[in-house]
Formats: sequence, structure tokens, C-alpha cells
Amino acid sequence: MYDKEMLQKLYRYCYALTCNEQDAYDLLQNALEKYLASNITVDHVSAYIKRIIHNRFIDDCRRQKIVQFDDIEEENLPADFDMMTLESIVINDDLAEKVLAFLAPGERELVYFWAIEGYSASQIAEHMEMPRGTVLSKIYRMREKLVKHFDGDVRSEAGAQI
Amino acid sequence: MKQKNLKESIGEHVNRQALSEAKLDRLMDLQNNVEEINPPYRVLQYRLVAAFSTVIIVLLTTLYFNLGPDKSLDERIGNEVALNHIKLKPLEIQSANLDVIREYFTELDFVPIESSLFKPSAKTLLGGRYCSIQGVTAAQLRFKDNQSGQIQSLYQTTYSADVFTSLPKLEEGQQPITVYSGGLEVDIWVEKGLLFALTREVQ
Repeated sequence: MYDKEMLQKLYRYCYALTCNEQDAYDLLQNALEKYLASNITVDHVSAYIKRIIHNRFIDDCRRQKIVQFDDIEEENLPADFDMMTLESIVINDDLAEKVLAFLAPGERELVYFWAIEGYSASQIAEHMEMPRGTVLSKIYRMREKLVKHFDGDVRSEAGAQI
Repeated sequence: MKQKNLKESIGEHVNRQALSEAKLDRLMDLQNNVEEINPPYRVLQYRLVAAFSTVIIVLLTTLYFNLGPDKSLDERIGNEVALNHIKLKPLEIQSANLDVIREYFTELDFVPIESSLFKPSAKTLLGGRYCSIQGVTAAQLRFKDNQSGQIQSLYQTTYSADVFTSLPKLEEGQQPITVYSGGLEVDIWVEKGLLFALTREVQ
């Protein structure tokens, strides 16, 4: 059985995906009900429920047709691009919510694993079941989107606008 | 405007999100009530599985008997009788007197009799019970050999030419046919308008 701390942690994952408090709660409740009803025993319950949440969220997005299935062209990725490039970005303090909401659902999940769970590109790739190169491509594309959309509010730590 | 690292800023924003105590309590209740929630699902699941299994079993059984290996009539009778004997189901009437046992079998459309091939003199009649052979109501008489202690069953049912064809008839000078099944010998013959089947341990 989950304690309140674990429920909060799962809720934050749901929030990172949905960017909406009520949707996050509904998502968590549905996933929890599905897990409890399944009456199965798994070794890593947290990971299992996150998988349920992920699948449920993707299903919901597909129903609402809000998932963008971009073709990732890894050959467009600069040779020197890595996760550290993303680490160097600074944003205005009040922009976090807007940045998160601006991102596509798949990008939000990626950001969650990176910013909240502290995963490396390889770990994110493993959790999202995609090649590491694809993860890096997504990050690159995400950064380009942020720079273009938020213009001067997104900068490098050195102070230069990206 | 104060600026922060993207990672730190997103992390702080997401970590600020928290379920209210009321919502937390609802989720805790959800887990506590799982035993109350689950039964309907489980019962429904079990019923569906049971119903599906029953359909499959009936289907396979039907297919087996209709399309399965085409065993001869004597083999089918021998298998059925041997299996029935091995189970040694409780006797419905216990008596060493054949007349008493005859009185019990009121549902039969024949009267159980002694066969010329089965002399019960050296055996003790234990009793009897209803059974069926190839779907025809039959009587099972159980005996115990006084010397060896071997338990034998003598089955009798109405001989119907439509159901039981090609079985040896004593009145026509034919000898019983012997079938081996389940480690038993089963002698099958027709006598005085009745079909007999006798189980015997293989010597």
C-alpha cells in the first residue's frame, strides 16, 4: 500500500505530464484503481504504476488528438550536443509553469525525468524505451522551441542569449 | 527579473505541486477499500473464465466423441465399465440377496438376473447401484471373491440392437469378447436379452 509521500511523488509525475492539477489527480486515481483491480504482484510497484500512468496518459492524448508524433531526424543533431547543453539554460523565475505547459506531452515527461528524477540521457532513454540518440534529439529540438518561443527570457548561464 | 537554471526552476515548480489532504485521504481510502472494490471484478472475471472453460470443455468433449478416434463399440463399453468399476462409487443398496437388490432397482426396464457365465456361488454379493452404459441406464452389481478378495462388478442393461450392435450373443453360440482397459479385463456379452459386462483383474 502506498503512503502519502509516495502518492505525492506519483502525483507530481502526473502533473508533469498533464500540467493540470485536476487532470493529474484523475490520472493518478485511474492508474491506482487499475493497479489495485489487477490484483497482481510486481517487484517495482512504483515503476509499474508509472508505466500505467504513462500508457493511460498517452491513450488520453490520442483520444483527444493532442500528441504530436514527430519524426526525429537524429542526423540533424549537432555533434557536440549533450545533456550539459540543457543544463546551461536559465529562465526567468516565473516562467517554469509556462515553459512546462508550452512543451509537448512527450517533452514534459522527458523534462520530468531530467529535472525531477535527475536521470541521465541514457536512463531517460531506458525509461522512455527509445534510443539515447532520440532522447538527445528531442532535447535539442525542445531547446530550439524554447529559444524561439520565449526569445530573450531563455538564456545561457554565461548570459548570452541562446 | 530573477533568473534560474531551467532544471532547477522546473524542479522547484513541479515539487511545489501537492495533493490536498482531502485528495490524499480519498486515495488512501481507495487503497484501504481495495478488498471491497475488487470482489465484483474478481467474481466477474472468475465467472467469465469458468463459463469460457465450460464451453471449451463441452466443445472438446463433443468433438472427441464425434470426431475423435473411432473406437469400436466393445472398446468404448470396456473403457466405460472399467473406469466406473475402478471408481468404486458407494453402493446405493447393500445386500447379499439378489432378490432384495432386484426390488431396489425399480427404475430399470429390465430385471437383473444371474448369468450363466458368472457363477456367484464362490462370491459374495455386496450390493448394487444405478449406472449407465453408453447412455443406457444400467445396474452395477458388485461382488467379492471369497478366496482372493477380488472385487468384481457385473454390469447389466437392456440389450438394444440400435445401440449395441456386433456384440457376441450366447444364444447364438458366440463367446464373450474381452477388452482390456485400466488394468482390468472386461468380458462383454449378450444373454437373455441383456447386455452383460464383467470386470476382472488381469491374471
